[in-house]
Amino acid sequence: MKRVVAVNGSPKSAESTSGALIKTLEEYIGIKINSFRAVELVRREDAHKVIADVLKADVLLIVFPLYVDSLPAPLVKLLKQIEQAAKTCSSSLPTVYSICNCGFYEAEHNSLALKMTRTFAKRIGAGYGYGLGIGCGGVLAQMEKGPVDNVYAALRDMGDTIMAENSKESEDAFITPKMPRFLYKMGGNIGWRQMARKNAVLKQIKEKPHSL
Amino acid sequence: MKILILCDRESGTESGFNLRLRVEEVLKQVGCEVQTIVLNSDEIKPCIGCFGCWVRTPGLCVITNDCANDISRVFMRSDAVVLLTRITYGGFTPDLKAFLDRSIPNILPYFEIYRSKMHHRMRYDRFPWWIAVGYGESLESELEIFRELSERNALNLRPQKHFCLTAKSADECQDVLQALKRIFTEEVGA
Repeated sequence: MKRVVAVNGSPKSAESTSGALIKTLEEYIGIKINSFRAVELVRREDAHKVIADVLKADVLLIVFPLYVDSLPAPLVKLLKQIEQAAKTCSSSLPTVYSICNCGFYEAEHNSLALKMTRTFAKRIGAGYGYGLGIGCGGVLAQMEKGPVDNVYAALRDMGDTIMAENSKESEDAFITPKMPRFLYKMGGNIGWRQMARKNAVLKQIKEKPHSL
Repeated sequence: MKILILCDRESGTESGFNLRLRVEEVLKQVGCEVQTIVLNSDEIKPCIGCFGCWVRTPGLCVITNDCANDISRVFMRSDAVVLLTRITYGGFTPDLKAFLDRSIPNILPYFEIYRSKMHHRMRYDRFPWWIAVGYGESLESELEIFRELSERNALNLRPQKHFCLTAKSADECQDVLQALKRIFTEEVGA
């Protein structure tokens, strides 16, 4: 039985899309995925012990939201710590897979972030499977079926690859829920306005506090 | 020209070359007003993705017990920002990234299509020049990612001008200094 460990790179404390993606994948492959939140792990005093254990897994899954075109800062920090630990690791390293989701419509926005996790694997001398970039990440929490079916299918594909006996390194995959872009954009913009109105700051939403 | 240098903690000691200090010197030589902020990711709280900076306190991060909003103020009031970072897997170091993650209040939540892809709309009429300087021993693939990242950042932040410079060694750091000199001599002279 393969041992799969996940690093959740979302700095959100609860209900992150990354956390939900790990859970979905766990249910699909039918084995327990031990999951750690990057933001917590980097602060833990026993981080080196946990990381040493992570490095003994068969598969390391890195799941995170896109932050400013790349990885959230705490995740970069954790990857650096893992890189350090890998230098003294005598056992064979886990194969790395990654999933990055963004709030933009096009999944390709995630491409550089996925290249970075692939580079991380190269740097530590671990094998790499592939990365999955997901667009419209925010809608995954609101929908389970319909337009997002293709996203879940892509997730199942990754689950199958992870569980396969001999997985090879392959190109990153990109998937956006099946909905028109204008609709997603319109819905998103209405959503921002609604949230601002709820907080009674709709009139101030375009404020420029740092203007001279 | 008012220049803000944002740098990571290692930028003063790279292979015995004080890149931070040398960049400061060069920019001052060509007549720029320079302010340097050494970023420390242990002192900048991580962005928690709450979107409060867009829908609760527009333009300001809701986390107020660290320096991120103050740095944003200096950032947005500068003509150019020079980001000195060790290239890390092709991206920024945690020191730099911790602040960049917290700088999204400086753009708007609203989506728009820009150059055929979805991006956020701009909050301010102008965004300072973006000059990403990546140093350290990097793989070719990392340099390539770093250059692409600079282009991508420019599409999302729309600075009036943007540049990307990289240096793998102390010698190449000299080239970076020359390039910075050229960029700013032309501008200050204009």
